[in-house]
Amino acid sequence: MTDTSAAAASTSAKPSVAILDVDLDEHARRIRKQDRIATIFLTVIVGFVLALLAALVIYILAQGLPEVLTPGFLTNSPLDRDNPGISYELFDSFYMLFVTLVISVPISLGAAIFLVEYAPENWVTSAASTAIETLSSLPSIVVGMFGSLFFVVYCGWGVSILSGAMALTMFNIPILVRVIQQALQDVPRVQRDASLAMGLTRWETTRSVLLPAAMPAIVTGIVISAGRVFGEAAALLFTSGAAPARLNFGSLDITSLRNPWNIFRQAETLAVHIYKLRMEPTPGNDAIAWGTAAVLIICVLLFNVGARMLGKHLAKKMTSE
Amino acid sequence: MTQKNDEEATQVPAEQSEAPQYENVLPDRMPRLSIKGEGKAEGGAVSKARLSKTHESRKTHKTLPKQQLEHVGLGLTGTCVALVALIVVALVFMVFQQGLTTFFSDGVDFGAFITGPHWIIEEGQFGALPLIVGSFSVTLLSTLFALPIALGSAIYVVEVQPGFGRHVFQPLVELLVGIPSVVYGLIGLYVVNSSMRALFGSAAGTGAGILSGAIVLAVMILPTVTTLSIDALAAVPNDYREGSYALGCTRWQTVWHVVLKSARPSIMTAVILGMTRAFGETLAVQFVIGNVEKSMPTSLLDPAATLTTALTSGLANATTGSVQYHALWSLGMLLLGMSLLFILIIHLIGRKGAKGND
Amino acid sequence: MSDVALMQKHWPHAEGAATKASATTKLPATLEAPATTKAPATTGAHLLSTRDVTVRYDLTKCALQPTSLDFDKDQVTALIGPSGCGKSTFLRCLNLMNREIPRCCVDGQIYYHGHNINTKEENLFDLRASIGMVFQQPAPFRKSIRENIIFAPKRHGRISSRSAADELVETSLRQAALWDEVKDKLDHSAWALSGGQQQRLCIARALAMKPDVILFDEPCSALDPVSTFAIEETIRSIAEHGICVVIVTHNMEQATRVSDRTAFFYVGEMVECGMTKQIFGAPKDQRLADYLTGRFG
Repeated sequence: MTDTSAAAASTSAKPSVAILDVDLDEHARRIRKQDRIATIFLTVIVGFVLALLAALVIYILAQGLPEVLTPGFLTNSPLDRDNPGISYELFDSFYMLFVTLVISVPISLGAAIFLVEYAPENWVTSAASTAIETLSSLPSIVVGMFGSLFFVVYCGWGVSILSGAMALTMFNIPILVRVIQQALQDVPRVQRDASLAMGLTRWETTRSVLLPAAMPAIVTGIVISAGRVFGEAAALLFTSGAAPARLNFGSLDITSLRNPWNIFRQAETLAVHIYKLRMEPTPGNDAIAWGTAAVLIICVLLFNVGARMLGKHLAKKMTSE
Repeated sequence: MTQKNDEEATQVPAEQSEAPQYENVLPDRMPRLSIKGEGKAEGGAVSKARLSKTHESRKTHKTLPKQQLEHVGLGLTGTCVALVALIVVALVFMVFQQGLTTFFSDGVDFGAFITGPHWIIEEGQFGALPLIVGSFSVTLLSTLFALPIALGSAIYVVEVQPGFGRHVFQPLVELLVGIPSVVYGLIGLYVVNSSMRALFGSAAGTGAGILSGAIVLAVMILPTVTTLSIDALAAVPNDYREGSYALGCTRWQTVWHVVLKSARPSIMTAVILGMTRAFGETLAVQFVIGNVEKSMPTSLLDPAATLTTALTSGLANATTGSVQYHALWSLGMLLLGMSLLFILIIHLIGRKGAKGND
Repeated sequence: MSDVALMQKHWPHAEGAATKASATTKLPATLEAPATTKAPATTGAHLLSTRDVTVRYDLTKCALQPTSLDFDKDQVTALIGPSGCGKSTFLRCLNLMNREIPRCCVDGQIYYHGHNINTKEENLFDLRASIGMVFQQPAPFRKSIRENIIFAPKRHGRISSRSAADELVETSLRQAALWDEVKDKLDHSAWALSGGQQQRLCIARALAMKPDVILFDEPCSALDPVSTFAIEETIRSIAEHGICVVIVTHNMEQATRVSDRTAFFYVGEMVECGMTKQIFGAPKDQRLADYLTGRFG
């Protein structure tokens, strides 16, 4: 190209020559350099994110594992004067999760099936979808505040596991409904058509054809949502309480407020425990807080990894049997 | 399979003059079907009445009639949806009812509520401006910090190294999404606050402030915005990229001019969703923002409070039914209003994006 | 008239069964008189009849012009035509599957055993129990082979005992020419079968309901030639057993091999129908002639 411009310049300058006076080689070099710089820049960003992730996890484990591994941390009650542990909180977290799932999974399943299979295309469906969307974007403290008035006072359940589980259900339903809806819609359409074309109802089709096919994705979604629920604290502060009940694991009376299985008793989950420890500046609380955080994050990571492995396993079982 | 044709001509009822004469073929397997206009009864009842013996005799045991089964299914699932919708309505209703009581029964002026610079509810000062400013500043700042990193990672994962991205990066980032907010708060307390003190010395005070809050929130919403951006970029059809390469563009040019432009609505949605999460976050922020509600923050290093943190600290102490209690519900009302606004924005982006694609 | 002018003359604004421009060839006397597109005097003589059936998506886009066709038992009717011309849409009207598509509107009358089934009160479940359908992609359920076959009959209350179920499974698989290949693996997953076997399983599944009509929507388009041959044999034997078969196919040669009557669809309009020999040997409409000679596909 330089030849052309040089040749053009040597002749008498015409206005059109100026257009040719562009060095395409230089332009190409510049763009390629831009491309290289951009790639390096992006690699740095990704490296930063990965480093951040690693740093977070390592920091928590480094701070918390020593505490976790001291004997008695996981098994002593928090009310133990000499060596308080987190056994009650551990139990409460899992029990709360269990109750929440028992309530939220059937409701979410029903709602998702309705939205995918039965929903007529009118305002009812849009209203329902909007309601679920609203629920998903609410700050968790607003849900907790609502629960503290509605479930605790109006429903008369008091500060209890049930109130907390209901607040967590409200938190969990949008996540589950979206996951189940996606899983059902991912089943190839022809499966549904084949069942309907044999004279079966939508209900039978969903129950016997779609749900089994979507089961791996649904199970994965449920376990992942369990991880989110496990770490939730703001919604529980005022619904299930910030102090552990004095549990008596040997109690046989389900109505006693000390019976661990009684859902009308107050409870304190791991996440809430961390918050409370921070608010009370007693020496030694920091170490317990870090230990609790380490346990919390290990459980959440286990939920996430477990969900994926379970999903893969179920999917493989489905296609190879 | 042989056919036995028992032909028996049946008269069509007089009122159905438009249906032509038909021959009724009745071997052992022909179901009779409902006739149009035979009363306003629902199809199930009609066809049951008209079902010939022969069809019924093919059934060897009782099953629920299909129409009824369908109604059972519809009823069950519809109830679930109704339950969810009802509870959301109850929530919105209660928040507004309790929140508006502050202004209508307790005599607090709405204007003073929104613009008053002092939030000291024990003394009856209900100026929520410091909280509003606190909330918005941490939200906007954290989004500002998180967006370039999230977008950059997303571009790398989708455009530069898709294999690595799908098998390594994405699962790891999704793990990050699950870390509870209290844990972020705890880390922020130790790491971020001390960094602030180290960086800015005495100007940082205890290290808690808006900047610290923004940093913690940025780390918190980073995984969410990253995964959503990855989805947004991956959804751009490959044809767009190939067309651009065919014209001789480099990868970066393709990304900048073609892919990002095409994914813009989805990326904007991802950003808004990240902002929603940051705006509504309570416990992660509470540890690092300093919880100073009584006056307006003047700089990024000043301790402050957000709507959510003020709500949490206030609710622990307020007695039900008091003015203070209602004022906290008014804060909740503001939060709810902002969430609804965010949803509205997302819907508008979605609609504009769809129109743009036409 | 030139091709283009002919097409423009008959393009969608023609309502109902307009008479088509006659082809240039004369009919040999030995061929039977082809059926016209006008409705015959009685629909009762046919097992399945349609009169002026139209289909609209989103209430405005017309996917199928008024179409009137008759189908009889013991007969295989093929619906041919280029892509997107309404053949599958029409097929799906016959068992009211278009009702599963939101905002899809089917007008006109569809007579099955003399009754108009295109009404709001129609019991879809009973109807689809006697009009079966086989789809383009093989879609066996994620269950064992035996479970696939008795899935629908069980839920219609037709299976009283284990022996009745076994008998039904064997009968259906034999009719679909699949029994010998799978008789030892009835409890294995249906997803482990090959594509052709899966499609034959879907046919067996449809046969297990003992329908009088089976609709095939391009059943062989996803299969290899060997499976295609096996399925065509199955289709012919099904028809010989008294079932009315309607098959949509892209493949003209398949239509000549398998069907007794053929209808040609072009861009949402049923252009010509008649006995297969006449359609392929002496097409009356210029568009059909062009399609057959490969002027367009």
